[in-house]
Amino acid sequence: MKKYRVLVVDDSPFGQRIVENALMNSEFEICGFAGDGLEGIEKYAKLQPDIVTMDITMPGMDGINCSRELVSRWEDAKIVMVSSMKDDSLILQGKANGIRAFVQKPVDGGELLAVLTSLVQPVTQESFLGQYADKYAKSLTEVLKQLGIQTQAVSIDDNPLPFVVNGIGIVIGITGAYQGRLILDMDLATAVAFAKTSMAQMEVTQSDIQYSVSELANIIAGNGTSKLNRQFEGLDLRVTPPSILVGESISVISPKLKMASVTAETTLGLMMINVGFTGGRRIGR
Amino acid sequence: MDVKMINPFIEAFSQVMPQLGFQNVTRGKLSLKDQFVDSKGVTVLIGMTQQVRGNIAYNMNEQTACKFASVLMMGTPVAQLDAMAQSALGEMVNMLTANAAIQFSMQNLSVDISTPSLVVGESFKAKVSEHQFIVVELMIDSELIELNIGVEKGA
Repeated sequence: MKKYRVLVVDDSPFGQRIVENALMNSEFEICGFAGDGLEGIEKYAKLQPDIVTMDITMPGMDGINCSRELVSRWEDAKIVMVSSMKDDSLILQGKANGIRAFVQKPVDGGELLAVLTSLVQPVTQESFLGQYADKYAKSLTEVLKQLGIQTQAVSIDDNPLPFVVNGIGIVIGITGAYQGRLILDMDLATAVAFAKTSMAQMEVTQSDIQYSVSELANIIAGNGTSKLNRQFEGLDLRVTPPSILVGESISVISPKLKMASVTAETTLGLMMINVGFTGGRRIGR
Repeated sequence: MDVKMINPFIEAFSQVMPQLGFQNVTRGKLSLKDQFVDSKGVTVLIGMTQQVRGNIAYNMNEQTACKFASVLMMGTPVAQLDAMAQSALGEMVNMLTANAAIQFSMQNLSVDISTPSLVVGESFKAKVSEHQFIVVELMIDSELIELNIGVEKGA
């Protein structure tokens, strides 16, 4: 398999090593290192890499000036800033000079790979629609784990029947390059158990139950959506506040949505997420 | 929430419904709520993000839903809310909410809308916000639709 070639521009051997380690056994390979901006331009001209990781503070020509120069000569240059600083003004400055993505040191290998992948592989409908369910499933189990609730089994159904809420259902809308919505559903007994556990109270009121389950849905939807935004550049997905449904056998019909259901067996009872998106609009830069 | 926030939605009905073949849009009762509202049978939920965040529920009985779907489908009789009628109703709510988003953008508020969800059941209740929201009734010719609007200006 052809690997994507990466030029690492960083004056610190330690910084270079970290990127090298992160890309080990991935679909990326390092084709060269440069220790400052000028050398970065020289190496880029010679090696024509698929992507560049760029430190900002370097002796001589810094990463911002080097990026500006690279993009002015090769307008398709794909540059990811990898720097110890990542604040709004630096991001604005970087974007203005052609840097497409920003990763902060210490580098999280998974995050760097996800960012690099998003730049070399454009978002296709297949890749997005094929991966979103997994992101929300992960978000569900991670959030429950943080709350000390064990998940015994999680299953994903990519072609579920129309969704029926029994008990309490939280609906959260999703906007952006793909429009969608997420529903978290659980029966009332599970909702009561969840409210007691998450609030660490023996007794809970109806509004405690609604607020705690709404907040759970809010966090799952927010975390899962952020994972997707990190993986696919330009999605700009955002979530609405939660709406709450209460009752039995409530059908939720969403014409045109490609849906998936995630069922988690937890120590408190079954929790289900149904999430779906429409085909989406073209993502422009 | 600020009562003025409902005006773009009322304006959307006044602009969109005549284009779909309805004659009169009149406003009825208006109230402020913070508790669950019983569904009349068919509730279409849709959300907004960006500079106006929140949810809107379009609440009606099944007969009214069928009537709307029938008019949208060029007068084809609609006896029950089948897949085609559901799709038409979702499209109507999409059009109304997108039009309200345009009204907000004319106030320099940028808004994006989610996809609508049709919620159908014998007996259920819904709440569009954890805070206060506004319930306003509209008569579209002789059909009653109740809007629950829970939106706030965001950052």
